[in-house]
Amino acid sequence: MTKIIRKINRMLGGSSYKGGMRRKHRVWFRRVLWLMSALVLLGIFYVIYLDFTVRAHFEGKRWEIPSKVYARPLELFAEKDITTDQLLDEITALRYQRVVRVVRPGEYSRTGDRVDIYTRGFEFHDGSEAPRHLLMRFSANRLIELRDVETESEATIVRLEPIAIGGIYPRIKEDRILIRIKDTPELLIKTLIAVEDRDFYQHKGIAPTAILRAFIANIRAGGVVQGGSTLTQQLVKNFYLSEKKSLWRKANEAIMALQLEWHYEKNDILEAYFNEIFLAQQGARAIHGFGLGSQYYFAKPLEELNTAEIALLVGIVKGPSFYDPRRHPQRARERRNVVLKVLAEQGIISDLSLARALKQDLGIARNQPGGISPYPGFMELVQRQLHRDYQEQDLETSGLHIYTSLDPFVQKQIQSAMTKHIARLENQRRFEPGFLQGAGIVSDSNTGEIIALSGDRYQGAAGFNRALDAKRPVGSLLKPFVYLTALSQPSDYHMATLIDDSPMDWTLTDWKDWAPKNYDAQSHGPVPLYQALANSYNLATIRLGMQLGLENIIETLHLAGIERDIPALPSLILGAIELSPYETIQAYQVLASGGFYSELKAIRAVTNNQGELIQRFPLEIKQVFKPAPVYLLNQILAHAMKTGTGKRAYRLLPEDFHVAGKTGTTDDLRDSWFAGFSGDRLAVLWVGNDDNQPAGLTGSSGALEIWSELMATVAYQSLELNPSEDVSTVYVDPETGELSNKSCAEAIEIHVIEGYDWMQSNQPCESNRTVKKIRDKIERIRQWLN
Amino acid sequence: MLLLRVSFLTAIILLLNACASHAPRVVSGEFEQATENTNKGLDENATASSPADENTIALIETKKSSSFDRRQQASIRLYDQATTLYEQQEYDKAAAVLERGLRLSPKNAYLWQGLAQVRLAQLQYKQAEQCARKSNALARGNRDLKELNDEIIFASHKARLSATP
Repeated sequence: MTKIIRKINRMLGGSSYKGGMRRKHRVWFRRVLWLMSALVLLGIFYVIYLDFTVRAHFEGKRWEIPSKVYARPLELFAEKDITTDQLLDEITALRYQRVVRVVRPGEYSRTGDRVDIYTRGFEFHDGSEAPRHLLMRFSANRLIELRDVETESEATIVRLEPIAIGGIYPRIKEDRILIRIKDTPELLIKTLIAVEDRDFYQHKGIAPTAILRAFIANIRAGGVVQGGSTLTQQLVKNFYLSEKKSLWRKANEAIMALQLEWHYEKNDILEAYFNEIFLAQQGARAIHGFGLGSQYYFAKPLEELNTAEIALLVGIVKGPSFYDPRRHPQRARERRNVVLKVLAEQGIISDLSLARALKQDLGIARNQPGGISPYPGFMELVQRQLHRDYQEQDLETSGLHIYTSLDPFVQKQIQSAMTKHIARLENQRRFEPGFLQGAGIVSDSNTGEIIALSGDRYQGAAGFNRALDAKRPVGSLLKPFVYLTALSQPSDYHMATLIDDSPMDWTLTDWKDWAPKNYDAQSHGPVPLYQALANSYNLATIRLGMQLGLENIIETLHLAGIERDIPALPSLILGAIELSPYETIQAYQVLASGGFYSELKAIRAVTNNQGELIQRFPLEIKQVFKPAPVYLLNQILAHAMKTGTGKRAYRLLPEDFHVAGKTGTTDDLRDSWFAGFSGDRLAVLWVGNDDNQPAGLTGSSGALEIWSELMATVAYQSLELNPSEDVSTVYVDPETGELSNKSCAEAIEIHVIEGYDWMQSNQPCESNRTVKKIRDKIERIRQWLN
Repeated sequence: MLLLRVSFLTAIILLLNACASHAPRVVSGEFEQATENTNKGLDENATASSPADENTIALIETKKSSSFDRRQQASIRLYDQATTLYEQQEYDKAAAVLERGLRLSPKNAYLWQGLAQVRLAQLQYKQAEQCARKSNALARGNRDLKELNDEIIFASHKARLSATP
């Protein structure tokens, strides 16, 4: 044993046992000291690291907010065409509260044809709209009076805030509406502090006294009514740490809470808390923050919540799932009442307010506003247009506000007309339910803004968007562009130029097997140009198209905005070209706006979540056709609606409401199309089968039915056609297509583009016909000789 | 300041120049009878020159209404707002307000002309020219308006030429 001790002493350098022990202690002490110093240093580094984490995350906190997409704001002015029900639909979607007496923004009352409303106001990208108390009176589907209650004068023009129609979400769908502390109701702040952290404004991040007080309060209440963590600790936990319950996490939480308090103002911490707190889970969408929580539970903005609602919202913080008022209303009510009593105990609300609030219903909105848009077809178009300018990640997390041109009323009408008529057509033709599909788009006929889009016959159906992606032969929808090509050559063609509608001999050409006929299987001989188009005669159109040259027709189509390659085949003349409804409406947009091209768009502007403008999508136009030929063409298309292929529309439209349009039918009745416009609306409809089976429908018996019902409800301005200065009126003989005069019995009045030779020779009534007869005879002899 | 030159003229002419015609609407497939005033408005604003049949083409014509159209007040208000913004050189906002006006009154040649002037101020010469052309297409014999539009077209054209190296 002694040997061993000596050996150790030698190793330690000692000379005796006692001296060795002292040395040994000193060494151990030194070692412990070193170890402790190292630990303290490590601790300091760790605290510095936590401090860095706290500051970096808090200052650089970029809230991940999905972009929100809005419909167009409803414009209100005296004499606007709008029914009381339309207005009520709009303000119901905006979650205005119906009350007996209107006193604050977000409220309205209705008595018969009068609506009293207090608008909320809105910060638009082109100016702000202040909240206004308005009185409206309606008569005969029109707003006839719009008065500002405060100024007691007529309000010239007012716009409501736009309806949110959807969001663009990342895969982890964390959603929130950012709020600022200065805009937060004081009662909410007081309630939260009273319930969650009474000493918030006194402590430095952690509050031992709060833990003690919570402990006592919980014993008194016989359950957990208060937590011991401060708001700062709760925020730290949500921001930086996991849900795992451990001492290590608690320690971290305490340190970070102290650091957060050291660096930041109380109100900054509170504001972060308001926006971070988790309040509900709606499918894959997590509802964060009181701003969105208020919308989710009560369908109104935070500033419109009453005492009981604020108490419930704060009460839910403790356990969003456990106190979910939709699933557990009784539990939620009890929790709310506990909160209300705490408020009364602390003198924040009076006993009277307490008694009143305790009696109130929970006030939970029945239809919680969902994150999924009811307009998936339109939303898809918006996303495609956005992706040209924005990264996916920015759209999902930057909280952009995207203002679109969607009109929810028009959208509702197109969807209901499609659903109703397609089911009826299916039934009539004894197809299996679901055999027929449809797509439709409505645009502003002057600006090219898309105001409604449906890619499926069923409301809200997502998936294949036929309006954007279904490429189908357009049939006779193409004919107007053949005739526009002709009318753009005024030296050779006018509205009454005779076009031969007799069968063509294709045997000497490369298209021997092609034998197109008229839909009625008749040939009509020489017909005036306007009749050939109005009645959609195939033979006359083919002959005209071949005279014009396929390249010229293709050029017209490209000018009208059809970008794809178009093969130069004669069948093109009869619409054997596959286009989507979106491409079709682009081409018709040029006709509806008098020869001016404007690219279709669904987005007006994008702002950031502070409302600052990021991008505007301005109205841009380009004249691609002279006004006069388009004017003449539109006159013919309007005539087609009155007497030709589109006349079925006037079963629903008033006689004196002018529209222009064209039917489209394809081989074996596979596709039914209609494209047409009034003074304010352009709509294209398609009905058919997804697998290209015969649908048994012409353009007139299918798509036109839907179009007519739609236009009867959403179009307000009759088509006005303004002749340009180079257009004048002449009389022609419809049998010869040549100039006649007013006194001739058969003469018809047409508009022509001035300044061409054929207009110089005004013949007596009969002479033209005689000349024509001679010409016809010469032609027949020539053909016989050939 | 072209915009200033026309603003007063515009205000007066817009009041007298109703351009939107009006139709009684159909609800649930039934024609709803419009009021007497609505029908009167219809007759005044747009008519077909003769009854349509298959062999004669009934040309749509537009007649000027002399009646005071309250709906135009909204457009005038927006035009005034745009004028103020133009004077403050807030061209983007002025354009946005004019576009808002054009959604209400798309056939209003004055609003198109206003937009042309804003585009000119923004040095967007092609758009200035196109908007002036659109205004011309809707001006219907209004010489003053056309003269100003032609000035804009000329100025835009000249600016484009001088900008081309």
